[in-house]
Formats: sequence, structure tokens, C-alpha cells
Amino acid sequence: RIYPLMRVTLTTSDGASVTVSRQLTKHSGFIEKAITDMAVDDNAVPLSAVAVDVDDATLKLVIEWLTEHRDDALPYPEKTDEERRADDIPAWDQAFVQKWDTKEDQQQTLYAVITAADKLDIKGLLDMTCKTLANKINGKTVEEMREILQLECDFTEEELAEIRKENAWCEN
Amino acid sequence: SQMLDVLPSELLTSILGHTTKQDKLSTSMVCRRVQFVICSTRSLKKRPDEIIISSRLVHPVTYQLGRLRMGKEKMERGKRRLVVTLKRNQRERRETVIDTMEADEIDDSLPSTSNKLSELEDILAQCIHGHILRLSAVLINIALLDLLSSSSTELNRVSIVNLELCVFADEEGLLQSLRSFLSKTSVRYLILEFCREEGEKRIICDELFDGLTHLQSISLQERLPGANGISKDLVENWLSSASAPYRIDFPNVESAISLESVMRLIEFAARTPRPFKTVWNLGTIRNTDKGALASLLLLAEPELSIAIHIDMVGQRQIKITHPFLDVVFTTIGC
Repeated sequence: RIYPLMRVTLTTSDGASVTVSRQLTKHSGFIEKAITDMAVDDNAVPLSAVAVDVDDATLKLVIEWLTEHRDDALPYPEKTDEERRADDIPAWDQAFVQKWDTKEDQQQTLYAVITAADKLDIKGLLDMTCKTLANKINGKTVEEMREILQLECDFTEEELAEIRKENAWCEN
Repeated sequence: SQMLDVLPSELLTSILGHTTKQDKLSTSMVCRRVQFVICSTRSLKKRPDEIIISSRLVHPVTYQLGRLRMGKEKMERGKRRLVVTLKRNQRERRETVIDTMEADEIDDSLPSTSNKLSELEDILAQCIHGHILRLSAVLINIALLDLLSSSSTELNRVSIVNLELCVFADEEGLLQSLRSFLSKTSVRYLILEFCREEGEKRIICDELFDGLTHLQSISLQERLPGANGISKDLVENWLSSASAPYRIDFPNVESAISLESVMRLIEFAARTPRPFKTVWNLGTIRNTDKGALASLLLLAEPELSIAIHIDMVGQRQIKITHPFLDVVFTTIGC
């Protein structure tokens, strides 16, 4: 049962506090479990704070996404490997992620939101952000992927040749 | 530190789960960590054309002991290796020895896969079946068949099943397991070659072929001719469902297929044009009666020719030819 008027205070890893509606936190498996574990009476208002291992800036982005998706159906549908696709991100979500592109540390922000979505167990946000990162590397060459993911090649030439040989077995 | 380091492996797995197979192949070359995640989650599966599970006898080696060659010889005891081979492009092959059975564990030609099923399962989990699956000289038991049936490796891609020099375990329900396994494949070519006569009657019977709708060719080698459960019902079922295989090769099989069934086959093949010619070698048909043979010879079918050759021991070798059909068989008891 959801009580829209009931509010939850979240304390971030950098000491900030944000109070949000329970209607938003219902999408977070972590927060819902924390509330249940505290054995709070359904009618009790206000609620004790829930500590989340997410910084304030990232939590604000998470809350922005949750606000937009507050009416999404729950539980979030589980998808099989075959059903997974990366090209079905809703327009609002695409615009939401595009905003980060103006930041210098866009990749860092994306990683932070992915990690936050994972820690808070928000499946919809996790799915969307993973798709976003997957879209960034889909269809790219190995060098382009390294550039996007900001990774350095730590293979030797011999190892790369071996992997190419292995991969040949995986092709049709 | 690199940014990707902040993401735990489970999240990397989720991200890579949204990429295409080609992109997974590319990402495996990005860096060690990504490659490790891809390999550990088996996101990339090998796609061999053929998977062979076989046992091979490593021949005993004789060598002399002592400098003076006093004639003392020690025979190294034989070993049998259970090998999984992945073949690709007819040339490349990759072999994994999953078990080596020492002398006392070897019961002649009865290698067992039961102890090493987890290793086999592990290898299969890394592969997607090609169109050929061959089990060669291994003990086929329910555990092995269940493993093959349950492996999520697109078993339905298999169109050629070759069970050569195999031994079937003496287990209740083995036939059902074999049928269940075969029905999950798209077997078009089935080769059954027995290493021992035990179990032939239990395994080679009409029921084995029930429901294998893709079957186009069957090759069967019996170790003990006649020890099978094939009857006229097999042919009748095929004809009634219009799913008779194009090619049957039962060279040394002795069965209870009746001459009436052969006549029905001729009528079926002559009146039901099919893309390929029906070529059946039925081996030996036992307990045929003269009346049925006379009816066969009198069969009035255009372009049908029947030749009979009586050999030294009085067996009748019959060859039936028609533009759509070739059938050969031998009759005994006539």
C-alpha cells in the first residue's frame, strides 16, 4: 500500500538531507526495504531518515528521474537476454541524459547514476542508464570504445591476437 | 583510476547485456576487465559446426626395462580419454580432454561420462550447438542425455545426430530419455551404430522414431542382427503421416517390417511425388510369406520394376526400382 502524503527523509553520503514523497521511493527496492526493516507503522508521519550511499548531486538526478516516473507500473518487468534492446529509451529519458552532455564529467555522471540506481535498486533507472551507456559503444570500433569508456588497452599484441582467434569461434 | 573502475562487474554485465553480439566481440578486446566480465558471464558463446563427445583408447605402450635387455618388459596399462571436440569450418578443431580413465576403470568399450558431467556441462554452456552432434564410443545413459537435453545451447540447431560405436546403459527409461533428447533437436539425419548388442532391442524399436518429424535419413548398424523391435508399424506410421524418410540404410538389420508395408510404400512413393527420391535399404525382412511376395511381384504400378536374386543359401534379394523410389531388401523364412 502506498501513502502519497507520507514523506521519507534521505541522508546522502556527503551529509545532505532530502525529503521525498513515498510515491517516489516506492520505485526503490533499497528504500522500501529500509522502511520495512524499521517496522514503521503505515500511518506514522514523519518517518525516520534513511541513509543512502549516494552523494547529494547524484541523488538530485535520481529524484528528478523518479519524479518523472512516479506513476510507472511496478514491479518493473524482468527481461530475458533476447528481449533486451537498447533502442527503446523514452524521449524524456533521452533528454534527461542529454543534459549531462553539457558537463565535462558526463561519463562520470552516468557512471554515478548507474551506481546509484544499482545501490537504491531502481530497476527502471538502472535499465535506462545501462542502455544509454550500451548505446554509446554500440557499433563502435575497439579504439572508439576505449575512447568512450576512457580505458587504456592493457593487452599485449599476442594477447589481442589470441582473443581475435577465440572470437572467431563465436562468429556465425 | 579509470572511470569504469567504479562500476562493479554485475553492472558491467548489465550494460554489456544491451549490446549486440558483434559489439560484445569488440568490447572483449577493449581491456582485461571487460574481457573478464564477458568471458565469466559467457556472453559470447562459441559456435562450432560440430560438437563431438568421444572416448579414445590411448594404445598401450611397450618398453624395455634395464640396460642389458634381459627381456623384462612392462606393459603400460591402457588409458581411455573422454574428449570433447569442437569443429569449425571443417578444418579448425579444438579438443578438451575432460576425463582420462585408467586401466582398471576401463571396461573394454564402456567409457563412462557420469563422473565428469559437470565438466561436460561447463563446455556445453560455452557453446551454441552447430548442426552436427556426434557421440562416439561413449556410454549413453540417462544422465548424459538429460544433460544434453537441458543444456540451453540451442539444441534445435542440431540436424545431424550421430551415435557411433555407442553403448546404451542398462537403465529403465533410457528410451524415453533418448526420445526426449532427439525431439528437442531438429534431427534430419540420424545415425545409430551400436558397439554392443546389449540394449539393441530396447533402443531400436518403432517408438524411438515416433514424432521425429524432421527425419529424412536414418542409418542403422546392428551388432546382433534381429535383436531389435522394429515392426511393420514403423513404416505404417510413416506412411499414414506422410513423413517417410527419404533415405533408410539398414544394411545388416533384420526386422519384422512386412512385405505389405513395402507394397504400401511403393504405392505411396509412386503417387506422392516428393522433392527427393526415396531410397531405402531395409536389410533383411524376416518371416515373409510366399503369398505376400507373390502380391508384391504382381503389383501393377507403371514404371515399376522388381528384380529377384536368389543367393546360395536360398535368401531372396529383392530390388525394386521406380522413378521415385529404390528399395532393396532380403527376405528369409519365405
